[in-house]
Parts: sequence; C-alpha cells; structure tokens
Amino acid sequence: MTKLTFIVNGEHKQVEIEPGEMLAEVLRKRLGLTGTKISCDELECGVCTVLVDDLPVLSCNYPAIKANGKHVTTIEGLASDGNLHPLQEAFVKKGATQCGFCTPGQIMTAAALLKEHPDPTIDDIEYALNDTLCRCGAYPAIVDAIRAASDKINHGTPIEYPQYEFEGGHKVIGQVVKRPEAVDKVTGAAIYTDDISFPDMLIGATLRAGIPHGRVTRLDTTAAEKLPGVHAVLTAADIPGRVNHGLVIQDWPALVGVGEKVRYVGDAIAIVAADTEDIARQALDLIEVEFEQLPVVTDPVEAKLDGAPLVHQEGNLLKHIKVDKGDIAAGFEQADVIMEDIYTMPTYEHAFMEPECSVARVTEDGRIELWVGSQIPYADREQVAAALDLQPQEVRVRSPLTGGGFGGKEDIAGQIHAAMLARSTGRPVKILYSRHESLLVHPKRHATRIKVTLGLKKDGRLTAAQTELFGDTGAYASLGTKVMGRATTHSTGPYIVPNVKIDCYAMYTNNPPAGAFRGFGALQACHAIECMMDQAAERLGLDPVEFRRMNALRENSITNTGQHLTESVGLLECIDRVEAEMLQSTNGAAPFAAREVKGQPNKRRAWGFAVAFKNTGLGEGAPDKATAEVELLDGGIAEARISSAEIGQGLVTVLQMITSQELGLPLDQVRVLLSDTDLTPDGGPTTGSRQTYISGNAVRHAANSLREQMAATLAEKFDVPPDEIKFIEGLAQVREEMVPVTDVVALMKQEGKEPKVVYEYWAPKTFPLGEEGDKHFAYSFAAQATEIELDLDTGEVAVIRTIGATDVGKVINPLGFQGQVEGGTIMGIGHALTEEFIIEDGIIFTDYLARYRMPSIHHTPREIKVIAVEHPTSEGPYGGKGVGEISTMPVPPSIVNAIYNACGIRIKTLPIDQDWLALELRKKAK
Amino acid sequence: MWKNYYQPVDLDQALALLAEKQEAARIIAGGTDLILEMEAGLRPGVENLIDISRIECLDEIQLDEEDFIHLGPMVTHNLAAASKLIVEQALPLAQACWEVGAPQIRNRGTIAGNLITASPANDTITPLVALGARVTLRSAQGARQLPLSEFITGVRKNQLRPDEMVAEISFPAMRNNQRGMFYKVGLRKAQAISVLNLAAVLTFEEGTVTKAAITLGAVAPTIVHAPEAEAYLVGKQLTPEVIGEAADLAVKAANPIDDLRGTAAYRRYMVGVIARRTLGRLADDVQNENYPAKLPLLSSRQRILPLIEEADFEGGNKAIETVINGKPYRFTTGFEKTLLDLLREEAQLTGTKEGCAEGECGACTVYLDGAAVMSCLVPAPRAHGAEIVTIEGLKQGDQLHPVQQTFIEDAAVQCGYCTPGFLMSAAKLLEEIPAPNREQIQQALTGNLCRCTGYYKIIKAVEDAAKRRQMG
Repeated sequence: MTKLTFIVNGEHKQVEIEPGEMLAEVLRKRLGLTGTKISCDELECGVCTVLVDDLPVLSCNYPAIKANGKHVTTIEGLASDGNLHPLQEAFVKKGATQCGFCTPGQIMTAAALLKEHPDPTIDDIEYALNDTLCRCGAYPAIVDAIRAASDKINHGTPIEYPQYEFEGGHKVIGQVVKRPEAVDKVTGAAIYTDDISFPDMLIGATLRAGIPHGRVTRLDTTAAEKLPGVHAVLTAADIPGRVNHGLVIQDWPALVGVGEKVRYVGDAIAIVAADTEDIARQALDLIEVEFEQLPVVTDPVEAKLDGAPLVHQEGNLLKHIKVDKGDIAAGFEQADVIMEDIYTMPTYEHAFMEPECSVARVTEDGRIELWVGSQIPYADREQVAAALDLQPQEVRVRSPLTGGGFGGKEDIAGQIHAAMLARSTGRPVKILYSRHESLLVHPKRHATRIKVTLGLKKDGRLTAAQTELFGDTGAYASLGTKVMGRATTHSTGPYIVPNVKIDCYAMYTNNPPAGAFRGFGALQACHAIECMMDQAAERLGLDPVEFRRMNALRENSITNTGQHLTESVGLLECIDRVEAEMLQSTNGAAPFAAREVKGQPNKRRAWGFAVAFKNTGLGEGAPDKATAEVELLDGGIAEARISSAEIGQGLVTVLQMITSQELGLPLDQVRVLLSDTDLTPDGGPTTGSRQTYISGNAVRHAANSLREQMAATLAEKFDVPPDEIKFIEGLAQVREEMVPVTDVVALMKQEGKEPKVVYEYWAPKTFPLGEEGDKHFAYSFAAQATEIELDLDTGEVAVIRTIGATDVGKVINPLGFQGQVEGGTIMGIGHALTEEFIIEDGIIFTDYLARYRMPSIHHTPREIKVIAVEHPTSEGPYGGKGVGEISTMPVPPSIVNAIYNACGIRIKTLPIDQDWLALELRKKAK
Repeated sequence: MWKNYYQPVDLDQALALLAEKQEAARIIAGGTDLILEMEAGLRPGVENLIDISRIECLDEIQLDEEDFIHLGPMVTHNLAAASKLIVEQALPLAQACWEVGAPQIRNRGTIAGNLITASPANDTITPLVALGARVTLRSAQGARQLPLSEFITGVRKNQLRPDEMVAEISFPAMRNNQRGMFYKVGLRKAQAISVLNLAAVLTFEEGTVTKAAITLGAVAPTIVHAPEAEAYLVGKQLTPEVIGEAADLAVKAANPIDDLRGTAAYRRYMVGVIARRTLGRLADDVQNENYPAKLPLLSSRQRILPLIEEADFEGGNKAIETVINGKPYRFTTGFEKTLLDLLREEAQLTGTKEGCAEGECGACTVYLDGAAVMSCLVPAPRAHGAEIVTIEGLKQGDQLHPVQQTFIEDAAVQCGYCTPGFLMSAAKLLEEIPAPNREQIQQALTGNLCRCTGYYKIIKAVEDAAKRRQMG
C-alpha cells in the first residue's frame, strides 16, 4: 500500500492505495466521489474527465499516484456554496443533459476550456469536446450551454431557457384549463382522509389538558383500559422514540407525561383507541389526571418582562430578530416629520373546511402506512418515524385530497397518535378531530403588536423606518421563528428606506401555538406599515397613492435587508393599474373623499388603498429544493410525481400544465401523482407561496429532460438533429412524419432506456439575516383599493368593491390565479371585519365554529377586480413567482384606510370593532 | 346519544310517551338546538326522544273567526317566513323568522322550539311578545294557556313541565290600522346571533298612535317591553321629534350586559338607533320594503310528510328503512347516530362532508323529504320512511347537474370540501327559483361556508347554471 496525499475539491485527502490504482477508482471507491463516471476505461470517451491542477485528464487511466501533492477537481467540486456553477446551470436549462452519464465529463472538459478560453467560439468548443462522447446526441444543447455559461461568467447575462416554437407564446401555460380533480370534487367522488375506512378500523381520541399551564402530577388510565370496547390507552410512557415534535425546534411533546408540563389547553395527555367514537370518548372521561396548576402568561409583551411565568425552562424569548440598515439616528435627524403608532392584530384561525384527520395502519411487512391531508408529507414521515423509533422509510405517508390548509396543516396533529395506536393495537386507527378539537389544538396566526416609527421629508421621501414587533408564538415554537422573521423583514413595507432598524420578539406564552398562516407574519407587518403610510400621507398633505409611488421599490432598489432587486419588481405597475381602475369607477372624482349614499343619509362610502410585497419560497438561508419525477407510461400518458400538497390552490393543475407544456402532450394525457412518500419524491413544504416556483421548476426540468431524451431517441432512429424534432399534441414530428409518443416510449424501452427522469431542483441560494447576500430569490408585489360603505349609526362596514393588481411574474394557471386572489380577498375582509380567535387567560372562547365569525357569502363584494401584472423572474417557471399569500395581505389595511377616509376615525386594532366604531362615531357627531 | 327514538303519528301518542318517560324524554321537532345541547352534554338523563315532525297537521298556520293566528308546534321558520298570512298580518314575526340562521336551519327549526330554548337572543320571541302571543301547553292530563311573557322566566328558563309540550302559539292578527316591524343587529349577516333586536307593533287612529308595543331582545335576561316609550307614544303622531324622544325612552328599558358579542354601552346606544329606524319606517309605512317578494327556502315541500304508522326505535330493535338517491336502504345499525354519520359510515356515501357538526358551515347539506337540511343536526331515525338525496344523487343519469358543470367550468371548486354542500343548496335553489338574482343566491347560500374561493366564483357558477338550465 502506498500513501497518496492530494487536495480534492479544496480538501486535503490522504488515502492508502494499491500500486497501479487509477485516479477514477480512487475517487469513486476510496473517496466516495461517484460523480465521476467510468464508461469505456480505455481513454476513448472522455466521460471520466477530471481536472488535475486545472488541466483535464482522463482519470480512468491516470495513475492515481501521479496526483500526489496536486489539486484535483471533480464534478462534485464545481458548485460552490450550494450554487450551481454556471456550466451546471446552463446544462440544466439548455437541456444539455439527457441520460446524464456523460455529463460530468462534458462539464469538466468545458470547465477546463473556459479557464483557457473564457469566451470560446463555437469552433473552440467543438475542438475541446472532440473526444468527449455523448450517445444521447445532446451536442447542440451542450454547445449552447457552454456559450450561455460563458456569457454569464463574463457578462452576467442570465441563462435563459430555450424558446419553444409555439405560436403566440405558450401552448398550455397561461391558458384557461379545467382543474383535473374538479369532476370528482363536484360529484362527491373526491376522497379526503376521513373518507378512508377499513373494516376492522378503530377510532382514536385524545385527552386534552384543558388547563393552560400546569404539571401533571397523577395519571391513571386503569378504568379506561377496563372499559369494554377499548383496545389501547397510551400515554407519554408509551412513546418509544422522540417525545417532542416540531418543524424547526422539537419542543412540542406528542403526549405530556407525569412530572412534565402542559403549556396550553390543547396539550395531549393520553390517547385511546376503541371500537366506536362513543366508547373512545367515554374512555377519555375515565382517565384520571391531576395537575399542579402553574401561573399563566398570555401576552407576548408581558412574557418578556422579568419575573413572568416561564413557559419553557430556557425562557420565554423564542427569538429576537433584528434588521439594521444605514444609521437610524441619522435617518431620523434628516427627517422633517417623525410619526409613530402602534397596531395590534389578534390571533386568527385558519378554519379550513376539512378538520384534521389521520388514518394509520400497520402493513403486512410491518411498516406504518399513514393517510393524512398534510402540507408537508415528508416532515410528517420524519416526525412520525422519530416518535415511533423507526427509520423514515418504515413510514409511508399518503395524502388524499386536503380540504384547505392555509398553513394550518404543516405541523403534526394526530399523525403520531394514530400511528402509535395502530402499532399498539395492530388494527387500523382513525383520528378525526371534531371542529371543537381542531380549534383548540392546531397552531394559529401570531397575534402581533407592531410599533412603527417613520422619518419623512416634507416632500414625502422616507428617511428612516423603525419597527418593534411582539409576536405571540404560543406554547410551542412551530414555525414561530420563521413567521416572525418574515414579519420582521416585511415590516417597513415595499419601500425604499435608507435607514432601518427593526427588533422583533417572538415570545412563548400559554396560548395555543402560532405557526404558519397565509401571509406568514408578512400579513401583520403589511397591515401596520400600510396604515401608517396613510397616516403619514395625510400628515404631509400628500395623495396616498402618489406618496407610495414615490417610495415604492422598483428595479435596482435596495431593500431594507440590503438586497439589490435586479428584476421582477412590478409594484409601480400594480399601483398604476389599480389607481387607474379606481379613478375610472369614480369618474375621476377624488376616491379618498367620503361620499354620501343616495337615499341613505346615515351611510358614507370611500375608497382605501394599500400595497404589499411577499417573498416566494423559504428564503433567509433555508435550503429550498424540490425533487420531481416524470415518467412516460405505456399509452403515451405522462405522470408527474412529487410530494407537494394540493390544498385547493390548484397545484395539480399547474403541474399538469407544466408537464403538458414541456412534453407537448395534451393535458388529458398528463397525470399528476402527489404526496405519497413511497411513490413520489420530496417537493418540500407547501408553504411560502413556493409550490408553483419550486415544485413547478422541478417538474419542468424533469419533463424537459424527458423530452430531450425522446428527441434523442428519435434523432438517432431517423438520423435527424434532435432539435428538429417537435412534439405537438402527443405526436413527435420528425421531418414530415408524425410519430405517436406511445411509439417513442416503446422505442426507448426497446433500447433499454427508461422513459423516466428524476430531477432535483434547487432554488437560488439565499442567506440568513445578518449575513451578506439575498434574503429571498423572488418577491411578489400587489396593490389594492377597497371601497367600503359605513353605517354612521351602527358602525357596520360593508365592502362594496375591491380592485387588486398582483405581480406574479407570469400567470401560469389563470383560473387558479384568480381563485387565489378572490379567495384571499375574502379572507382579508374576514380578518379586517369579523374574524377573531378569542383566548382569555389561556382558555379558548372560540371553541366552536359559530364563535369564529368567518366571512359568509354575504361578505362578497359586488365586484372583485383581479388584475394580473407580469414582471417575470429569470429563474421561476416561465417567469412565475408566488401568489398564494399576497392576495390577502393588503386587504385589511385598505379597509381600515377606507374607513378613515369615510369618517375620520383611525382604527389601530383588528378586527375592526363595530361596537367601538359606533361609539366613536357617536362621540364625533356630538 | 339517545337510547330510544320514537316517531308517533298523532299527538296523543306523543303525550302518552312523555307522560311515561317524564324527565328522561324530550320532544324533538327540528332538533337544531336539542342535538347541539345533547352533544355538549347539557341534557343529561335524556334518553328518549319523541319526534313530532311526522305528525300530520302540526305545522298548520290558521286564522280563526276572532282574527287570532294559531301556529302549530311544527311551524318552521321557513314556513312562517313564507306564509302570506304571517307576512300580511304578523310582519314582525315573518321578518324575525327570515333572520334566523340559514335556510337549512330554517327548514328544520321551529318557532315553538325557539320559545322553549328561551334565549334572550332568540329572534322570534321579541315579535311574539310584541304581538301579545300566548302559548298552549299540553300534557296527557290536559291543556293550559299562558302569556308568552310569563312562559319564559329567565335566560333559557321556561314553565314547561316534563310531561308537557308546546302545542300551539296564538296571537291576534294585525289589523289594517296596525303596523309592525322587527329589526336585528348581528355581527355577521348570515347565521348571526342577535347582538340585539327590537320589535314594534303600533296601532293608529287617523295618524295618531293609540296603542304601542315595543319589545327588546338581548338587552336583558328575557325579552322586555319598553314601557316608557310605549306610554309616551300613545296619543302622538310619529313626527321626527316624537320618534327621537320615544327612541331615547326605549333605551331606558335596556339593561344589557357586556359579552363577547357586544358591550353594554353599545347595546344601549343601539337600542336608540334601531328604535329610531324602526319607528321611522313605521311612520313612513315602509316597514315591508326590504322583505323579499320571493324567498329562497331551499325546500320543495312546504308541509309535513306524515308517517303512516308509528316507528319506535327502542334500542337497536328496529331497522331504519329509507330511500337514498332513489335507492331503498335498510340500516340495522346506526340509529343512535346523526343522519350525517349514517350516510357516511353506514351507507358509505362519503360525498357529504362534516365541517363543523354544529350546523354552522353547511358542508353536510342534504335533502330530507325535499328540503335542504344540515344532516349533522338530524337524528338518523328521522330518515325512516323519508327520502334523502345526497351529492351522489345529484347527477341526472350520467349527466352532471348544471350546477356541477358550472362549478367546474367557473372554477368555483378549490379544496372541494365545502363543495357538496354548496351544490346541494344551489341545485335546490334553482329548482325553486329558476332564474335567481344575486340577492337570492346569497340568501340561499348563506348557510354554506367556504374558506377558499371567496364565494365570487360560486355565485357566478350558480348564475351560469341557471342560464344553462333555462336554455335546456
């Protein structure tokens, strides 16, 4: 054995090697760097190319010992900090990789070329790649890719996808299409979790703490166990693995055991499986539990005070989040006017129509199979496995249709409990939450208090913005750190502000946990800043629209986190389009003046205005990726597979459209299979308006690559260049001949090629707060005008008309887009006017749906005008970015601003209190 | 929830059962309050339900020779709201019935049930007190009659004895020289419980008030009169000044509390506001102007479909025989469940969804004998001898119902969980009103909640379905 010491991809390596070992073998077998492939092993194909001291060598026949003391670079070392090398990116985008086996060699050879010739001609490229073979025949795309990479390296030119030949833009994308699962949904054939049953299935039920804070001192389940029909009664002592779950911080016990603390009324103490729900409920009543009650803290500001009762041993502060930009003191000094106010928003409830349900069973091979309408199937799998002390792959999570989520189905609900009971009893177990239990248990929207201080020049320019936020994250972290992070960065609005200081405190309390909810903290932030902007405009005597336009983020602006916005900033267009529409409705009359209503002397009408921005994707340094699989099946059907949630937003439609677009297949020849961890790769969480962008891109790349493979197969058979082959309506056009895709699939199989591509898509890298670099890879923008009618006597407010413009980059699924905006608008109206989840001293008042006043059809405005603004992103699918959350955000502040315009009363607490408003109006009238 | 469920075919059978079981029994009519109370554990010891909803003629609304209106115990809110007699001669009651709950609730809930629940926020009590209503209580022993104001003794308290039932409600029909109106303030238009409400019935002689009844709901433990305002109005003409003064006097009768629906101060202030508005409308004789000419009831059967022979479910001794979507079913288990659970668990018809199990969201809407109802509030045995239609039965052969078609085409479906309930309500509406206006669509769908779509596309889908149906 000989000692080999060398530097591989920047790391010192020392390995013992046999005499005569070749570099490729050492890399693959001894160092596990299997990216380098061996194809011919005879210096013929170039597939094994790596760089030794920056020169390309064929590693299959390069004696390893020759690399002693040298720098070796392999395909694994090309990407840096999680960012693809421009060559890698270009190979992906230009479809230069098909089967992928030669790709590392092609890319390494090209890398060597670019070091020597940074700006190679096509001749240079062809010369350099002369001995690097590709059997799929992707050469034109490879040349294209290398040119594009060179342009990006030398000139910063973004790498574009190839343009398709469809006339009038995309054939499928942007067209109005039918939602594929709609027929099932309107015929009652659609299956949700509670629609799944097994003949010998047991019903599970959960004993809840019922007190907001205390220590379990005694727990006796004997009587419950003896009740006929009861098959299992389990407590914390029965959890074989990790007791705590949590998406970011594992601080939430699946069951609270004796000696442990309950931290909110919904904490689970024991679970029961019984023949019927009635028996299960009776069994719960027979469980004896005693608590030592502890003092309760329910206000986030109080939770931060010294001496406040501790929710968790480590203290009540979950996270202090900070942003500093410029010099805040100097910014206020430069200001002619300084304004400050505090806005508070209550806890809000998702109120998805389908309450949580989990069905679990043990399969014949001893695994756990779990059905649950989940927003994050893979996180469920990990958390259930950890609790049961299993490997993740011993759990199969399957999502049937999900009856709404809005962020409320990201955390664990009954998943772990159902799995525990199924394992304990050996029978399938269903846990369906009643609405009452659903309201008690799942995480809510953070109640938030935001203090905003603005420094302004007389002409309206912002010189400084300081905000302080307190977010009530409740008993457990859930996504609290992330939600309040987004609240932080969005709290100075989509404006150019040179000097910014933000302090945000995410506080634990004994309220129900708060987590993800449409808008994800940015909704609360938007409300505060947008109310303040109207107050500032009035103080300065400026038109609120013009004032916002003056300060609005635009291309090349720098955000409050120092991010340079290089593209896709459509805010100004949103503002312009909404203003124009609003002025049209008033025939040019001042929209923000109070108007009388004919025949109703006690009514006033006025418009209100607000804008919003919202990041797409996880951002702030969280690795954001999705893996998709696209396969062509016999019969010419394509199936796209990914674990991402269809929660009503239309993801199935979007992925079907993308697959159809890329493969040139009719929509009805594309199937989408979502959320089965055995069959579909991980698409990541359905959160942060990210699915169209991230999972959409994963499916797009996979489908695109599959198309290239089909083209390559045909190219070889018909001896035509692959780029001359077109795919139209399920047929491949090869010269004058039309080949059905079914034949192409058969041909590929004949040749031993599997007509399937798995693609792992990584979104552009982002960086956490406090570090240099972009916090998010894309933002959506919106402007909103809302006309309200106020009853001066009763304080009743009705929304008459709304106009919303949203910059989503590119509308992929117009009906889905419209649905998201309309639905989001109504939710915004609810947040402003009716909704409030009421908790008193940790005890939930809103424990029935009747007590949560969500908007009904009567709240639908006469008109919801939806305007699409398309400022494409270079990386998003066809230029697209997110829409799911932003549609709700500007609605509440636009209503509050409209009320002020109608009557001169400024509301600083949501929801708008009809009672308070009526009494204020009365005072004013006197 | 119940051990025995009885469906008698005449009143004597019902009263005999009540006499036998006493506190262990409860009369059930619509069950919209009782089922919730039982689920919440508020009716301990009640093991027997006596369903009077299949007894012929208990839903009659009659005018006698002395101009008294008589309501049977099975008069539902929808029946009263749609009754020409009630609208013309007891308008405040019609208005109050129309404000109750959602169509699916109004199809089941009864006025008599409202009186028995006796919540100060129950809408129908306020106008009945203003109209001077009396209730007739019957037991196997006999009958007695009480003024309604005496029948109700406190918050959710009344004089009903265990062996008695409310057999009739009667009050003098309003005459030509009388005007009356009901006014309600709630916090959400649909399904809202009153923050407060007011009813006024005034008698005029040549423009001068000769008699006044003004009653207030949700501002005291029971419905109260506003005696000072009533006395003040007598002998006056309804000038703006008089109205203002009377409204101020009405405030004095209010003794409200702070609760989560409203503060005492707001309620007190609002008594003045709505008294002014109500008296103003009465002065102008426009009390009827907002009452819809054609009410979407979501029911194609206005009267009881009586049972031919009684059906007593004592324990699980009897099978529920019913027809669902045109097919006969026989259930030997599940009689203790709600209709929703019977459909989902016993019939395996999972298209009907449970969203709240409290009659609030409408996801479980099905047709029971032609009327849209919340199946989560219907006891399963009620299906015996009845006809049920669920979402699975909406298709006409292989053809989707027009509302199913347009819900798809107009993208009125998102997560889909509320969709079956909306479709059932919408299809029934179109059966009743083939070309509904937007107001009627909103009225009809007011009991169905959707958290995804924002309703806008749903309304459009119903409009489009109406057009499609009319074009054939």
